[in-house]
Amino acid sequence: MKKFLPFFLLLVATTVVAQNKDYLLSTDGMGAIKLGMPLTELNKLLQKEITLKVINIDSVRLTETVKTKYKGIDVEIGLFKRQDNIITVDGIKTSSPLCKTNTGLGIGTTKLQIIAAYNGYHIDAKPDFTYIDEKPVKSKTKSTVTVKEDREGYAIIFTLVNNKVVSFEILPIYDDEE
Amino acid sequence: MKICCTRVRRKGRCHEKLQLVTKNQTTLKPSVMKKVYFLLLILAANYAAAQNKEYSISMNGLGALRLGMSQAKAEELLNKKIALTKNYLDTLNGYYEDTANVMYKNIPVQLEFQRSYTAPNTFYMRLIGIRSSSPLCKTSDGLGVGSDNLKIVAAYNDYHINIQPGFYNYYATETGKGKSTIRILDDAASTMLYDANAYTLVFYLLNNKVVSFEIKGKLKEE
Repeated sequence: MKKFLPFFLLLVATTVVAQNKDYLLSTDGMGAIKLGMPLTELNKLLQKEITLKVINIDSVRLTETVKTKYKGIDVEIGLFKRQDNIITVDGIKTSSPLCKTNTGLGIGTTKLQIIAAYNGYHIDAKPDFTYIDEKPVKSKTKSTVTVKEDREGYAIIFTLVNNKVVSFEILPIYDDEE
Repeated sequence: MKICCTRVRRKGRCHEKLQLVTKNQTTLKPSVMKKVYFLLLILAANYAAAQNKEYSISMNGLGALRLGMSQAKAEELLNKKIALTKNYLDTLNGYYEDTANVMYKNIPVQLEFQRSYTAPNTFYMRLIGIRSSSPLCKTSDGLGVGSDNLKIVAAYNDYHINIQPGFYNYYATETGKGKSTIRILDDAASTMLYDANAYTLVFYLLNNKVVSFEIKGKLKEE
């Protein structure tokens, strides 16, 4: 029994680490799903063929969002058709509490915790606005915190309600898109 | 009136006691002394409040200096001429904006002015920026030079907050180890609202502590 216990504990620890890696959020992806990954690779990873309803049918439309499951959690994956006709991952969105950054940020994290964790990054924390009669009206509850390593590039966008994270999105942002 | 120290005996022990004494050496009654102390406290508090108001940082100004005020009004407030040197009067080749380093209530500040046209070829210089690194200047929450980044974020929780490495400037960011900028944008600045005054409060930090600040305005045309 004594010999068995350390082995069992090692197995549990390894499983936990592997699980964490599966749901690890970073500016370039979530777990094994990476921004820029071709659709063919994504299909292999998800072990299923994603059905496209827009990109492959309408030659003018270059983007499409699909809902699917990844390691048991619901995700929305943004796809983009490049000039060479290869369809790649262009965005990942989820609200699963299993997903965390390497510093432990996830669902329920506060704005202050995010800002403290990303010291030295480009951070944009702003309330949501809606427009009524063309005049902006600030939301009292909803806001986003966008984190990037550089002025342009891949970003994690944390969506917050009442200052607590409710979902995340990872996508590329270029200056004129903000 | 003067303050004198006298020795009194209380419960068998000698104590030294401070007392207010008039010119003819009459000691004031304790009840009168209490009123005088109270009055002095009120005067001191008012003086401190007045000083605080003079150095109070807000989204649209510093003390009596308000963004949007004309160069003439600023000169009246400072009681001296402001020397703008970039030949702003030359409407063909002169600069649209100019800055001046002045003293305001004994602290050095940098004022930025911009042309405001009232008619073709007729303009006056209008204050659009105030910059200082004086520790006397504080926001209503007590933030100023020496404050840390998280306190600023907590105080302006409802605002649009932008944080980036380096000392941010629209034209060029000054990079360097430990440098960062926190910009607080009001709703008009955040949504780039047309035909509205938009204000941004900028904190420049070194190793996450404020070293200077700037109040900037994007003002609507008059």
